[in-house]
Amino acid sequence: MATREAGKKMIMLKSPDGMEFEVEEAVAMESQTIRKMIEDDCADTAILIPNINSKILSRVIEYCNKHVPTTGATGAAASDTVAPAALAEDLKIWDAEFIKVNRATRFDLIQAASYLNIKGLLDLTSQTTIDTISDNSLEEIRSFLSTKNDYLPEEEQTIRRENQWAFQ
Amino acid sequence: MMVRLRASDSTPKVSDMKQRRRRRRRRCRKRGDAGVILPTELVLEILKRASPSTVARCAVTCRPWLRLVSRRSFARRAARPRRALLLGFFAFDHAEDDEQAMLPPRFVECPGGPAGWRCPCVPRLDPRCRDLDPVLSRNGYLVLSRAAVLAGTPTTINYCVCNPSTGLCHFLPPYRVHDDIGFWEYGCALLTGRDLRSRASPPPISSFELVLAAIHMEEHVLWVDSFSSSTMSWSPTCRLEIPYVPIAMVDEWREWDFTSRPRSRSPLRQSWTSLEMHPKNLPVVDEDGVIYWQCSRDHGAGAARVALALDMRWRGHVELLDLPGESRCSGAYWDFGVVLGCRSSDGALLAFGLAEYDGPVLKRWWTVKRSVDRSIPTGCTWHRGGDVDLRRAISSCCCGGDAVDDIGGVKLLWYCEKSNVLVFNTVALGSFALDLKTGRAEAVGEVLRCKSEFCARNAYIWWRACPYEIDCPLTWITSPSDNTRRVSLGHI
Repeated sequence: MATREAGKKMIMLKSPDGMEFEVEEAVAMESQTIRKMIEDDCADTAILIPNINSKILSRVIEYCNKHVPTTGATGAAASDTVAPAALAEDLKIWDAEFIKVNRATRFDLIQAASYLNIKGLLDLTSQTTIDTISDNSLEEIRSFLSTKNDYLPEEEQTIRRENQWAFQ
Repeated sequence: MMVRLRASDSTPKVSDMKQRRRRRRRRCRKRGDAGVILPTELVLEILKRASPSTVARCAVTCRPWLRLVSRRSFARRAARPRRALLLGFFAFDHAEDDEQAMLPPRFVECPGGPAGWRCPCVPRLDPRCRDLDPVLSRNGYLVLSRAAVLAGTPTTINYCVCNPSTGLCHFLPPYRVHDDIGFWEYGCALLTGRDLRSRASPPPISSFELVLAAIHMEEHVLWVDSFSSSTMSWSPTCRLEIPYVPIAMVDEWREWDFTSRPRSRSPLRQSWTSLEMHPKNLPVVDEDGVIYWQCSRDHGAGAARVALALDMRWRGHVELLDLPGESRCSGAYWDFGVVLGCRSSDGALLAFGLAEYDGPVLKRWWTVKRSVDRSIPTGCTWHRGGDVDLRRAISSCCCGGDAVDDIGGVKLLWYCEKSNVLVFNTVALGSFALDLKTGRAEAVGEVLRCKSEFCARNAYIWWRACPYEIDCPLTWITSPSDNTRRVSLGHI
């Protein structure tokens, strides 16, 4: 690990609660928002990531670390020994493990992924959320998304009847 | 540079505002959530990935979500990556021994459906639809009709607009036929909320409009009636003059080019022609909601194929377009020989015809719109698309690559624009769905049971079946505004 870090440029990410994370530039560049900052030379010392607390930010960095494309000497060696398909399969299992978090954390991750513009993470979190919802009953969906039923009872009946196809 | 996602709560000066917020917060805590509510754009981001039925279920949970998914922009964005699906065909057969009696409608599934998303539901018809004939289908809706001809009472046509996937079924109030026009002369077309989006005030996306048109030969006008789901009533008849456009001599081996011909727009009555609509040949609706019906013109020297285009915007506008076609046109509806379509990618009008060289060959033509304001493509050129040898298309799929000898008479049935599939019937081998993108034909089950030479070629029975395809079930989600309007109408 030390040899890898030696040749790489490091970036400091700061969360609003004062924690600092030192990450490789390539890892930070997984986020399109940070990539733009780096390319615009706004990232000399440290980048403050507003609204994402250290707990979520560390998870996001964990995700980016895993998903950064393996290039360079060590990356080439890794892809020689492991078949790409197996690598992708590995990553999938890791993703499934990664997303096993509670609802609030997942929503925070969605917000973070959207703000930092990390497509892979946004896809993963949104897809998992929608998969959770799709098998649930209406009440469960309501409680999961913390929405409130504001239909009148007869109104709800009408809408349910007219959209019956979705409940089969 | 750095933008905060959410503005930090500024201290409110009005005390009751503070109280209200506290109350709200307390309510949230009581419901046991962590207070995380996603912003609208992230909700949309999640919903974009959901299957249509999940979206519909989410919409039923609460009003704001319903409003969110009923937005046109959402339906359009969510619809784009989804593939169109030719689900199959509704077939209405006669009883074997009694031609007047009808069997219950069959649904013939299209085999080898795309591997993409599945239809959220199994299409089924209301039992009351048994006594009706299929007319056409569009955007998930199916239109059925039956004329009521009784001595002593004015003839009426009963229409039913239903969605076999959602179970929605509207039996329209009987339409009273005009005295001078036979009930069989009416052309029918359905416009759904997606076709009406270019109107000045677009109706809700789940609304529909049924348009009936008939040519009144003595007055040389087109009589147009329409039924709108937002008012649930028939509109007063509107009369539109049919302009006459002379047809140029056409060289069969060159591209159809009508740009050079003089374009006089004299009324039809100045010429000694008869114009006949062929409602059994399905009309096509383009993306702006312009309807094209197939007609034949007879000016003494033989019949010619034309399309009657009706643009319902700007109080209605009618044009006659020449249609290409190589086979002989007798002017009778059963051997009209041309199938019209609209290409969904660019809105081009398509025409398909048959030619007989060394076997049946499918001819393709297409034409693009000329102007934006009046979107009817008049004075345009028909471009030739590639020909398809139907015998080869069939042999590559169903006979293990062996050449097919004789497939008998061929009748082009329907063009399914969402799936880009052309369905045709052969006397010897039954019906096939030809994927125009790949050029591969797939045998579809027994859509048309009658295999006699007469039925296949003269299409005695093909209008007793109707293809059914969908591409965006999201447009079926009925919004509360539709409901309230319907309810209030019930009280009037």
